[in-house]
Amino acid sequence: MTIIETRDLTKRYRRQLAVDRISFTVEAGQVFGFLGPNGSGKTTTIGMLLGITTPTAGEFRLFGEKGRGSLHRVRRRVGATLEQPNFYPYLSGYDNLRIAANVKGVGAARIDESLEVVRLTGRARDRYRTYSLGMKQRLALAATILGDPDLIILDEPANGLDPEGMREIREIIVELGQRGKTIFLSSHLLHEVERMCTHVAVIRKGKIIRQASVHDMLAANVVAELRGPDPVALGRAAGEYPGAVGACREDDGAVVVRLDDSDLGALNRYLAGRGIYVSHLGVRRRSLEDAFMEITTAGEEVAA
Amino acid sequence: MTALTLARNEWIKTTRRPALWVTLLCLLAIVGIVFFQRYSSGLSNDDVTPLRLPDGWAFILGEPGPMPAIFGAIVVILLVASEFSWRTARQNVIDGLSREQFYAGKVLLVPGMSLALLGLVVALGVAFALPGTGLSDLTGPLVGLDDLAFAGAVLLSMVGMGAMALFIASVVRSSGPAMALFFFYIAFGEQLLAALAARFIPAVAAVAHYAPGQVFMNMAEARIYYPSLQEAAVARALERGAAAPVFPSATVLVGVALGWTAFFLLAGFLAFRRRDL
Repeated sequence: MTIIETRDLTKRYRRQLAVDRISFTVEAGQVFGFLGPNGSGKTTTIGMLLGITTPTAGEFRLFGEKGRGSLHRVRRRVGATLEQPNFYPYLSGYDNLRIAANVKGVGAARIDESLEVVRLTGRARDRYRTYSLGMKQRLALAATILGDPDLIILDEPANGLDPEGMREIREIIVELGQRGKTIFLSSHLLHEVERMCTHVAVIRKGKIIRQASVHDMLAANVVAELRGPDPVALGRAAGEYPGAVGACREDDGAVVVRLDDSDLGALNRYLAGRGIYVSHLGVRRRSLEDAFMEITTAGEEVAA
Repeated sequence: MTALTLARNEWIKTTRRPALWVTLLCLLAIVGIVFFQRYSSGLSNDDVTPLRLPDGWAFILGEPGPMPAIFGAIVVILLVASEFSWRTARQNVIDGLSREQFYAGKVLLVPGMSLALLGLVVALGVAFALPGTGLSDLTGPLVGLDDLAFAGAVLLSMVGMGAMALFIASVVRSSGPAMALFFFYIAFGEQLLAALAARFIPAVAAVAHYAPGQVFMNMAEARIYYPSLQEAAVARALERGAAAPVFPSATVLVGVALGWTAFFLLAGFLAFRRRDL
């Protein structure tokens, strides 16, 4: 089932085109990462999905519904936070959740459960303004899951957190994903997204430039790392290999080749045929960050 | 989403806000001084009638002047504008309120706050008036029709001022600037606009005293609602050889105040709905 579907969604602020005709889909059960540098249009896109930013053009559906009234109704199945956690600083964490619970029509038991999930029960009666950033993010997560939503939308949930805080948030999100929730999260912390998400879309300058599963994104090309006595000659020969998509020489003398298949033997034979013998030949694990950098620096526009 | 749910949430947000209690204490202190002065004068000065009921209602409701309305407006600005600076208005909508429902919650705040403040002022006034009131000597009702009409008018003036504050807070979206704009308009802006308009469009001068600030302030004038006070004012003016004062019609004032209140509530809603959160 398609949970989110956007078609040519556009937002213009006077002369600035913040989101430019973006189309993507999120299916049920996916943990979907929405990646992009700061200012690329992630928050504006989420704002439109949540009904707090009015699109300039295009349309979107949530749970197959569109139109003001229907969207307002299905948004009851959505839990979300946008940008930083937004709470009343003079109220306790518990009272902040009470306000959200009243809106969502859930009882006190559900507040306690949510606080338990985000491990904030012990500080629930303290004022929000006394919370650390990590606690504020966890309270935002608690508010998000309060109504037991089918779709959870999180905007930069690990922003500004220390490694411990990031780990806690990651564990909670992974746990929610394992419970079958559909999760849509925006982030520019690629290593975090790689560890949490099943699918990603990359947005740059308001345009979606790639949408794929994380597996496909990482497996798009095999990256081989080569070392030899003459890195310059090795780099030149590797770059001329017919199966090479690209090659570069790194500062430590390693030559990195992106291949269009995984046949390292063929590469080795090709190099040997040109009289170049390598001292090291191995597959370098490709990170989402590598893929992201390739996509965003190439500026290619790939249909999803 | 019921009005009860909206009211419940506004109750949590309002009653836990320290700024509300500080504002209420300031209002009670100012009004308390006014009542205490009259109370002590009544005890020590034979020329001053002691504060007692039912004669004292005009004093209790009218002497604080526009203070309760202005303090009510301050509270409304503090409670509404901060929803934008803290981005909790946005979060409320994300959590499931429609924009209409969020604004309706804020509209509930206006009469709620007005009733609460007026109730406090009345309670304080009654506390000072009761010692001088011989309940066993009462020949008529403790609260007359004129008193009720005046209380209603004071309440309407507070609601109107609150609606104006809600409009300004919805447009400006920041407590400090909204407060500054509100006070500037009440203190100078309206007279300035009226003077400018009268200079260039003479016909406007005739209706300038129906500008919202004027109307809401004038409504808290006791002499409009008590014929005895009007007669006394006319007699005093004639004694001095001055022209007899003319008092505006209470019915017209109420009608105009209702119109301005509806205008501010609607304009505030349109401004709120039009912009992204």
